[in-house]
Amino acid sequence: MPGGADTQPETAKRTDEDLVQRFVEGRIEAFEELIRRYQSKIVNFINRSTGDYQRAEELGQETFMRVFRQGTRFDPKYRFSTWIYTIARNLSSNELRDRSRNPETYNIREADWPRDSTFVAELVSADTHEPHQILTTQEMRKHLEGAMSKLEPDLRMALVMKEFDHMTYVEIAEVFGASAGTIKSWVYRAKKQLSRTLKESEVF
Amino acid sequence: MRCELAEKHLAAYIDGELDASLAASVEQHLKECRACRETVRDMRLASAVLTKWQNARPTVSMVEVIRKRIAEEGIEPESVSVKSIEEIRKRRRVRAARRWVTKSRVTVAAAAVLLVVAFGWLLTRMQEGVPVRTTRDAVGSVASITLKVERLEDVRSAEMALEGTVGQLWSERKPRADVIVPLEVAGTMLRRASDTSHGKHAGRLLELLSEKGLASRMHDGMDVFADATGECLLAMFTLKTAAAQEQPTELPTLLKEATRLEMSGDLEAALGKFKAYQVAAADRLLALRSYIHEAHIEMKLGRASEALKALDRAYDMTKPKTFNRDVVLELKLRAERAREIRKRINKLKMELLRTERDFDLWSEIGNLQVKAGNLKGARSTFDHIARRYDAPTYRDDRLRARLMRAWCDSRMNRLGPAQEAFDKLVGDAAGVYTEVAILAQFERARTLHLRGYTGEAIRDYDAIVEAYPDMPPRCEAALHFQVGYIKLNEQNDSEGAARHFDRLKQDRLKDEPFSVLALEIMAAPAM
Repeated sequence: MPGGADTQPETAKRTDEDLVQRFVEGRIEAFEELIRRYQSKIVNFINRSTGDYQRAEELGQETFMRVFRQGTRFDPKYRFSTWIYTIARNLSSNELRDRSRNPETYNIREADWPRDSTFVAELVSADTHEPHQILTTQEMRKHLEGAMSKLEPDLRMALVMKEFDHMTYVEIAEVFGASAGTIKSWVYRAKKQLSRTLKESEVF
Repeated sequence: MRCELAEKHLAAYIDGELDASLAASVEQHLKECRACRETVRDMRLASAVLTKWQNARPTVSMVEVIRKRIAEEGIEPESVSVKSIEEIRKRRRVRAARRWVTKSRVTVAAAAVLLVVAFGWLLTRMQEGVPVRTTRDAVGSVASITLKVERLEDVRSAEMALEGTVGQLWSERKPRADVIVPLEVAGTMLRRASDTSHGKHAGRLLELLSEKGLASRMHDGMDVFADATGECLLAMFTLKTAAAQEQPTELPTLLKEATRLEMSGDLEAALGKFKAYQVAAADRLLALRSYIHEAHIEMKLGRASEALKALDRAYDMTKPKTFNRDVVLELKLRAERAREIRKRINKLKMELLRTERDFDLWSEIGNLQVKAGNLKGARSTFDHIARRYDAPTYRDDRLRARLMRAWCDSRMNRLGPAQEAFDKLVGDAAGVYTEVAILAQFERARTLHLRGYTGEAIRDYDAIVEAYPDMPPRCEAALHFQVGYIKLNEQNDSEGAARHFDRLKQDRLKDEPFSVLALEIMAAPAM
């Protein structure tokens, strides 16, 4: 982990909301602690939502810049995690929208894809007897990524929040400004569609 | 517990977000039901595959990067709290409410499309096959238009181009359902999606249709067109994603008023407003849109030369290699074609003066006018035919002319008179000319639906099933689906919807794609 040396035990114990309060008051180390807590979650969330790791890092930076700039807007009544995911979600949505408007640029990005090497590495070491035996890791990644990219952006992001960030329906609902029921149906649809696509490509 | 109910809870069950007693019921059901067991298995497998997608290792130190950026850009946190989250939430709720209110309108359009899908077979029955070249060209041109939609600043322009193509196919008296349907789908979706926030719902329906293969495989042996159709759908899909994320644009009042007039069928008045707007227009793109509207209306009124003038002005406002330039060129092409057709029509009119076979000539003129997009002219020609040829030998032709006359009205957004005409036709053609009767009833239901008379529309749709017992299962399924869908989405009547969807469980219908679709919609929680 970067910057481990200047992690202060005192800061590490505080709640997220507390940290925001402190950094708004001008304590930069509180802000840096928030970055450490969330950088991996946010970058990976954007990566899984957009399928582009390099962009995800850039957009992750942008997310934290916004947190920094707009920290005063944060209302401590709410969870900080909801707020930062809302920002990341908006950035991901914009990214996907821009991409659908300028497919040429996206195709170039897609061509020089394989940055997310840990994904491949993980698949290689996968020990389950499930699909990985049948398909090569490369194919697998292609299929999963393809299946994910077929999902509607909102569905995809809700699924990522549920599956990877282990957020509850209520938390996800807060991010989207929707009802928990809606999110439940999104996640259900997303999974169903995903499993159908994976089935079609004979992943399982 | 039945499947439908169980399926509602499956997601929460898998996620462990179900309370104990419900979870127990679901488990009991799973013991008995193989299909649901498989769903659970598939969804768990999907999750398992997903968990293999591990976090990537960062390539940079985020803290360092941010520290550097803050120092370099000299940014400081905003000192004043501009908008609290509560305020943002409030605005969001208002937007959501607005979306909800306007949603019903898109459902109307989307549901109407479904029926067009179902009744394609009637059209094919009524008409002969269209020469392959023409059809393919038409589909190609639609696909190319729709594919560009994602870059579109003005969705209406594409919609206009599409409508013209639909009209052209109609005018040849031999539209094939496989062409008409994607066109109508595309046109309707585009029209509604141009109301920005509606795009999402339309897209969802399209997505369902395409998932079921309903849109591209409506007719067997039509594989040739499947690709083009698929492309249309893809483009629509992209469009609605973009549209759903866009904020509604604030149009100047004059332009809004003009559009309202156009939508209510008062074309001349709308034209006046568009022209007035052009004088005052400050925004280039809005002025451009206004010129395109003007051209389109002029075409409908049969004044292709006026349309061309407007298009020349519009052309000057576009930049090379832009979508708007393409749209203008496409419309110019059509206006020029319309002018050519006009010459042929004039010749035919001269011939009318010295011939006995005037009925054929009038019919040809009417068809040519539809082809040229001249709805006003076509309407008056079919009106002439319907009034003048009252001899018994012309009985069927007259009925058909009346159908076409009403069709012109409905496509000029004159829904009131159109509905009245379809209404009379339903009675007059019954037992005389079945295809016209059914089509009229279908068009009446569609018009009622578009005008907001949902109850009546539902009755009409139901009546079609009664009146046509030997209807193919697919069409019957589509009709039940249609009514169920309206009840669910527009009337919030899930019980009524369930009753209609239940009818799809009959052995004869249960394997139809619409039946499967209905089941899925019912199963999805909180839809």
